[in-house]
Amino acid sequence: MTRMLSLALGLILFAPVTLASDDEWGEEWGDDPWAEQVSSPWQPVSGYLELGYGTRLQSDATGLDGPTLSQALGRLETGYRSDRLQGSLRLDLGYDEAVEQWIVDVRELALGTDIGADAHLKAGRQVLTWGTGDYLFLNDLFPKDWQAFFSGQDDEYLKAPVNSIKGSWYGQSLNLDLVYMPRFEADNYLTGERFSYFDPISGQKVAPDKRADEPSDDAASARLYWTRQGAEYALYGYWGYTGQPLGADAQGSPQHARLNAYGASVRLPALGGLLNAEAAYHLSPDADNADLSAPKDKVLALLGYETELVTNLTGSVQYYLEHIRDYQDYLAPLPNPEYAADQNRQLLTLRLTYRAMQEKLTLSLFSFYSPTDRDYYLKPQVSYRPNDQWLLSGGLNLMNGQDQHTFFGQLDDNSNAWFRLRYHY
Amino acid sequence: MRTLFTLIATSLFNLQAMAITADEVVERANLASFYAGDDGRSQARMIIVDAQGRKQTRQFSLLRRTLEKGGDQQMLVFFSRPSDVRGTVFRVDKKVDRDDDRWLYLPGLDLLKRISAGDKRTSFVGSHFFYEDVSGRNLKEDSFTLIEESDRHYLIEAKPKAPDAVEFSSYKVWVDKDNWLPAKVEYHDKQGALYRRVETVKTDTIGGYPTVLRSKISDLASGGYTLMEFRGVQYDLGLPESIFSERSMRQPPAKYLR
Repeated sequence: MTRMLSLALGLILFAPVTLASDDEWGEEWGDDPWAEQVSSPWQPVSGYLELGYGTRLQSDATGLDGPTLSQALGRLETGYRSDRLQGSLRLDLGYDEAVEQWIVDVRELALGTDIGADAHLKAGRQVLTWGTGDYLFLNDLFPKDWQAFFSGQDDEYLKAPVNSIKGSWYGQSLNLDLVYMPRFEADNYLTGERFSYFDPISGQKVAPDKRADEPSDDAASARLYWTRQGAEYALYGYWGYTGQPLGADAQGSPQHARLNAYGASVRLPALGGLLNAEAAYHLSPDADNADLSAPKDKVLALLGYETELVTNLTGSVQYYLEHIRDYQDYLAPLPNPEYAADQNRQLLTLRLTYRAMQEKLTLSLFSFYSPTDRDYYLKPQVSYRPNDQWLLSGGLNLMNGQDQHTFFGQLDDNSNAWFRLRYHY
Repeated sequence: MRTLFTLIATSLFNLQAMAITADEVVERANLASFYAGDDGRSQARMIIVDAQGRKQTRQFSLLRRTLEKGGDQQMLVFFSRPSDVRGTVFRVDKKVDRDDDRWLYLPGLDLLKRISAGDKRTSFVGSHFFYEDVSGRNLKEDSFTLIEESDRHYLIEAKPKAPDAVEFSSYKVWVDKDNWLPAKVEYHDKQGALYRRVETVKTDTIGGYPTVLRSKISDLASGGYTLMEFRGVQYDLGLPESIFSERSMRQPPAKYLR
């Protein structure tokens, strides 16, 4: 911690001092960088250096006492963009003190090319996102990084990259995306490495720091989408595994169960804002497998609305429902049915975002509240960007609930405060 | 005889000149400002300066296509600087009869986010320009009066039809008679005080179209201002309608951005 702080101070001292220029239209508007940038297919090298630190606000029942976030990170980005070929690189290098490991994270290394006039192919390591939910994913079953999310890293890190080939076809009125992942990649879920969770078998909080084996199998995803009179429609499909190890083998060790998902969404301007609705059917092909305990089929539904409440203050609300099918069959084999998930887990979210000072200051609050689980997750955040180089942000991750076995209730010992200092180059 | 003829001709001409209505001036100014060419591209840079003299910059390429003169338009904005917004793409389908459709693409998340139409009089990417200053305020929102005509300008006063929907009580536009571009716009707040000024600093004629190359917007209440400069302006490139789509946000059309 002391080391991180002195490094942070060092960075602050080196902050460039911006002086007001008398000749406002002068030097800075010189032709060179501009001309250079547009003529070469090579994109400039850019990125940032970041220090982040986060700590628990209470002690942890399992004895986890390290920082929830403690890392120094360097981001390097560049790319190549010509008519025929587009390459992109986004690389993170650094050291994570919380788990005492070096970070080498290729967030993007991909090549893209047009195939004819109406199709595009992009292959390599890439982050993939679709769907209409805000922090809620019904049809976007690409890998997530929940550790990053709960430790206060930038939103970008919630989405984990995946090795994949994405083919896109753009038609007159219909567009199609097909994604093939040669090997399924799981979420970076909570393992007990940094955050404890509730174990329904033993009935207490645990922090085993173990990951389930990932099935060496491929996965695929598809999206068919179109726009009609300002409304955006999409149909989705996914054939793979659950991102988290929700199943268990005969010995009780966690397994990624197979998951096929089918869904649809619509997003349109309405009632002075934006309205979105999304639904998905999560089909669990292993549900009746005798050798594996797997989740039952689920129906997921989401309704959202976003609007600008007053100038510079945006608000959005979402209602989310997760319905377990064959609920009696789900309950029957459970050793402790009192820890079972609700048949109809409901969730309400509220996001408030306020921007001020030429967007130099952003205040935001994201909150999850479940009336059925009676638990919550509050995520307030402040970021201050004094100039084009520096970004200072801080926030809280507050999780709690009436019971210790519910989705957010089990995470109460992980509530944390964090700050990050970033220098963009 | 000759003098008399000139006199008559001049007064006839004057009558004709005076006969132009406020709405006609505003319509021509709107076409000159936002509808030059069937389509166009440019690079733009903004220097955003706050009251303390602290600076931010934004640099972006802009593609625009007009579906109907004075009517609907399509726009794509590709940010290249500063580095934290590089790769971010903003897309607008400007609609005259209803709210614009707006989208934002964030490359780090591969997230294509639709933005609620909401208030068009909020900052465009942190600058002192509003979204509406960049894409053009709908002419149906205000009523116009021609209050003065000089050798160089038509001076138009505009009052909002729905005063509660905006932060100003009125604004004045000095429309340049030579090129129909607004030379200056001044906004008055609800108390009648001048608090916001947009000035055209430099213009040029490109491809036959008078074009603003430099403009300055000042927030007179706070002392902050933004300088905007356009370069590499080209018109009538034959931009296909299909590039104004999700595809271009995810894969910027290199061909049209050089």
